[in-house]
Amino acid sequence: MLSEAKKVWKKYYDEFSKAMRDKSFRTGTTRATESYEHKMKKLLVEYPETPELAKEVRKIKEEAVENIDELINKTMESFKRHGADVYYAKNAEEAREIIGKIIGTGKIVVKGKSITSEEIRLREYLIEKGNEVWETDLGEFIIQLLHDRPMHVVTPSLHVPREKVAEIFEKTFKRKFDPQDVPALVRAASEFLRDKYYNAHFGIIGANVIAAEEGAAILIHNEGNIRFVANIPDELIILAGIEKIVPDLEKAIKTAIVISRYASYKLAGYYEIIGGARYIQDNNGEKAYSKPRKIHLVLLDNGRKKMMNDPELREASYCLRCGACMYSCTVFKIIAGKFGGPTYMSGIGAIWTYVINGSLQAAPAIYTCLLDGRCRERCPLNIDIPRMIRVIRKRLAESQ
Amino acid sequence: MSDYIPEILRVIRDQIMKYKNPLAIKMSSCTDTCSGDICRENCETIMYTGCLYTTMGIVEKIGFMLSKVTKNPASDLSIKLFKKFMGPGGKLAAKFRNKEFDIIPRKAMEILKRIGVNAVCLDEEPYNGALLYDLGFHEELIKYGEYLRDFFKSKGVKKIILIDPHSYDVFMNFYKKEIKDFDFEILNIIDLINKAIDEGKIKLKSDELKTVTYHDPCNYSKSTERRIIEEPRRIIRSIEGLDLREPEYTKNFSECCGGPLEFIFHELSSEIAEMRVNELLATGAEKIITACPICSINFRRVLKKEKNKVMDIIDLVYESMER
Ligand code: SF4
Repeated sequence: MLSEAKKVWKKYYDEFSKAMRDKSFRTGTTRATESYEHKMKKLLVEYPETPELAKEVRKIKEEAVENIDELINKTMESFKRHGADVYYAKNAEEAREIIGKIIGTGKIVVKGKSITSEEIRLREYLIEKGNEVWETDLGEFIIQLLHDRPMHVVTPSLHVPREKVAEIFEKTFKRKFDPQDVPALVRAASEFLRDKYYNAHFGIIGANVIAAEEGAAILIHNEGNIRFVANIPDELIILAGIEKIVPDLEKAIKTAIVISRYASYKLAGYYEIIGGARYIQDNNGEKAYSKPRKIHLVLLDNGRKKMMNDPELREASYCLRCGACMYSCTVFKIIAGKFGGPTYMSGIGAIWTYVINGSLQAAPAIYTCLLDGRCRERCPLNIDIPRMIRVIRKRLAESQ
Repeated sequence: MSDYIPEILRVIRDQIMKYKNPLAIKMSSCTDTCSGDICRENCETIMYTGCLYTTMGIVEKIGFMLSKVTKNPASDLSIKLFKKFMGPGGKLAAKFRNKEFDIIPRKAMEILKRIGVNAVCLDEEPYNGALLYDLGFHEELIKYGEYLRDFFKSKGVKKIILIDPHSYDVFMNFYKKEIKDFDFEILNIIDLINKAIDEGKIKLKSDELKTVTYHDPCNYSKSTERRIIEEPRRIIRSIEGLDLREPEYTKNFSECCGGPLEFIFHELSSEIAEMRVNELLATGAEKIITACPICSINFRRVLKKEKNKVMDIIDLVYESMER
């Protein structure tokens, strides 16, 4: 009989070994990581002030985590002021239930990319409840079609080379695709999704940063899809981890610039700042709303406070999810997000897995880390991932 | 009680604690090739290899069976085999001594003599304990550090010259900070060679070898404490007739050799080594210079017939000294 732990280790080993031998997986991963390294090298030459700004953002995040309770309250008040409904979910289950209640059943839902929603398995949950749910970020859309899971926070399907995308699109859309004709692939997906936007009842998005004082969510995207998700359906649900909160809009914008820079963009395609639904009222009290008419903000804890209150692991809660450390991780270059836990990948992901999912799920990833420190060198906030991996190894050893 | 930590790692931990060596080989095997004076007591300045060259040399030799044992930590077969081969007293492992690695500490000693540093080898060496540090066996690491302290004190040691990055890492970043009275002066051979070059004590010249590339060990290049990045490069550049070529990913962005996964995900470790070797060879250099025996065995393993393309920096300096 295999123990629980052995089962987890076996599954982990089997999965990454399969990925390691899969040529197509490696092709996609290598293309993405190499292209990242080259872009980043150039970018830091073009914008040599970026690391300085990153240092400032580190201070912003430290300040935010230090005052997290106050900032959570402030965020909730500010969003309420704009007419939003606000919720605080202590764990994944609560978050699913809250969102499940808002949406109900038999609805069409379009989603922006959100690793936090992956963390709580939201898409699967809503589909199970009898809704039609579509990922609108191209990478996530591919993940959805493949019944796979994201291998990177910014580029979830980096391990799927265009050849394989063409294959799955042929199956889905029942026509031929030329893998070299990437624009045609992109067009096919957006044509398919256009229809969905206009029929959707709900949009669901995450947030890259949240400004507490003004009550705004900032989202960074490249495909324009977030605009449709946020503006076409009547109601919008914003699901965000509490670690996304910073004190005010100016600080939020600085944070957003650093996130996109280290995700290797000079300037991302779009930066949304979403305040709240506005309306015009006539003398009879009739209101005419802008779209979306209603915003629901769901703030998620799910272990984040525990992380923030743990002096040895607090640093992990500053993570911006820019993905820089993942592209730069030597293990990631071979097995991508198979190095990680059920949701979060690579070294920082191993730490998050430990906090969110517990020792059992985290152990294999915790011991996959090379402790080489390349991630920390690349991380805009200089988050000392190897140090925390050592801390967790120590705790696992002590728990034996 | 749970088994989050694979048994193989626990076995390695226990062997280190019990035999003072991960492969359970005898402590005297670690210095029996020393070319200098072997010292038993009142050994003020010593060169200490952490037994890393001897141990890694053996790991390379027994790679053919180790690779089967250390690739899948979920397999029970692995651990049975490991215990059998690496069993008590390391009798079997000791049969697999590796001359190519054993020679490096010897050459290091010759270099020290040449540059006028008076140092001796101890008659026996416990392993440096780095695996306990890296694998998070904190409690054991403290005990081990105390053991090392007492061991060195019993030999009258005051100054310790280290020749590998893992010993340097665990000594500087753990023992010196966390172990009471671990008050030895720690020197690094890389610094000593640099100093000798500056003072004109040695001249280095390469006759046949024209181009090399240097692989940064992670513990030197990405340390959060002291970084040793330029020092080895200065040594290489000072060698007349030798051209140093930088790989695409270098210095604090150099890639790891994969070594840390050697005992747990052996195949993954090799894949990583292969990726790094390809980067290093893309420079067109004739040889890859390493400063760590763990990097060496990983690269040599994937290079197979061409394993002689890997050369330790100590070897390079030794071969470049005027005869
Ligand atoms: S740990 Fe650093 S580099 Fe990695 S995703 Fe977080 S902020 Fe970005």
